[in-house]
Amino acid sequence: MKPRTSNASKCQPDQLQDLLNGQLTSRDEQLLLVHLNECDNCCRRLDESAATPESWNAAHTFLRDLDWEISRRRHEQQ
Amino acid sequence: MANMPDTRDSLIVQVQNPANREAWEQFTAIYRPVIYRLARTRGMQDADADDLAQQVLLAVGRAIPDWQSNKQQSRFRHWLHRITKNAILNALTRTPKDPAVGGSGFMNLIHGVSKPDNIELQLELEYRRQVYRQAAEIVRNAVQEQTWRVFMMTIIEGQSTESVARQMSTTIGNVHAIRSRVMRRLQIAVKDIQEADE
Repeated sequence: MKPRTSNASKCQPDQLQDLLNGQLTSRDEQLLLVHLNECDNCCRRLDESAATPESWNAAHTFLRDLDWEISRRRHEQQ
Repeated sequence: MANMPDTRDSLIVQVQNPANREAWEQFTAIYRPVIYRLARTRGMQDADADDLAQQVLLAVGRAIPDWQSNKQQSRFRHWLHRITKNAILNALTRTPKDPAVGGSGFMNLIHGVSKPDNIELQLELEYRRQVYRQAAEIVRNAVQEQTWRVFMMTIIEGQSTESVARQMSTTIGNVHAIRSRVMRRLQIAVKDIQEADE
């Protein structure tokens, strides 16, 4: 597998917010997604832009059995 | 959890203002599972925990006319949260010899607060958990199934983005974008629910 290294020349942090908000043009979005394939730093920045570390942890902790619960509820309703 | 439509209907009838009725519906959707889980973590059996949730909500529902007759009304949501917190703390800290909820016991349940140990913290935790779960259901229904699957595989199952990209026949960059967008939507939904409750 190709090593994933940061390519600083292509990093455009301002675009990360636009990506999250769905405000990039289709072309810019494709270019950014390609860049994310190669840049761990931008992937990390994207995570940080989406939510705080505490919120990521909260999602991991609180939603653990959510899909199972929804399936069970649907099964009970049938 | 078992549905109890008769009791729910009787509670709704007491909330006459449509705006407050909506607040009550949202409120019970959050608090019923909160009370249930709190009771379960304190060793109650499934049916008993369900019953306790019902008792607390009944107690709160029966107090609604008090709020409606109060000239200096605080906001309905604020009032609901305050008295429910008291009712939960009391219900869970009562000794087994205490009388069952009913009659004048309802008012004691609502207005007095026993000394909590760590129940208050547990209550906050369970409340937060339920807010996240409600928010997640909103987001889950709004995104494509594959999008939700990517989010769950990376966040809940803890799979690497590389592994998820392989399994879902997509790129690592796309996996990062998908899960971050879902997370952003989840944060907005959490905020909306919390603001509606404040």
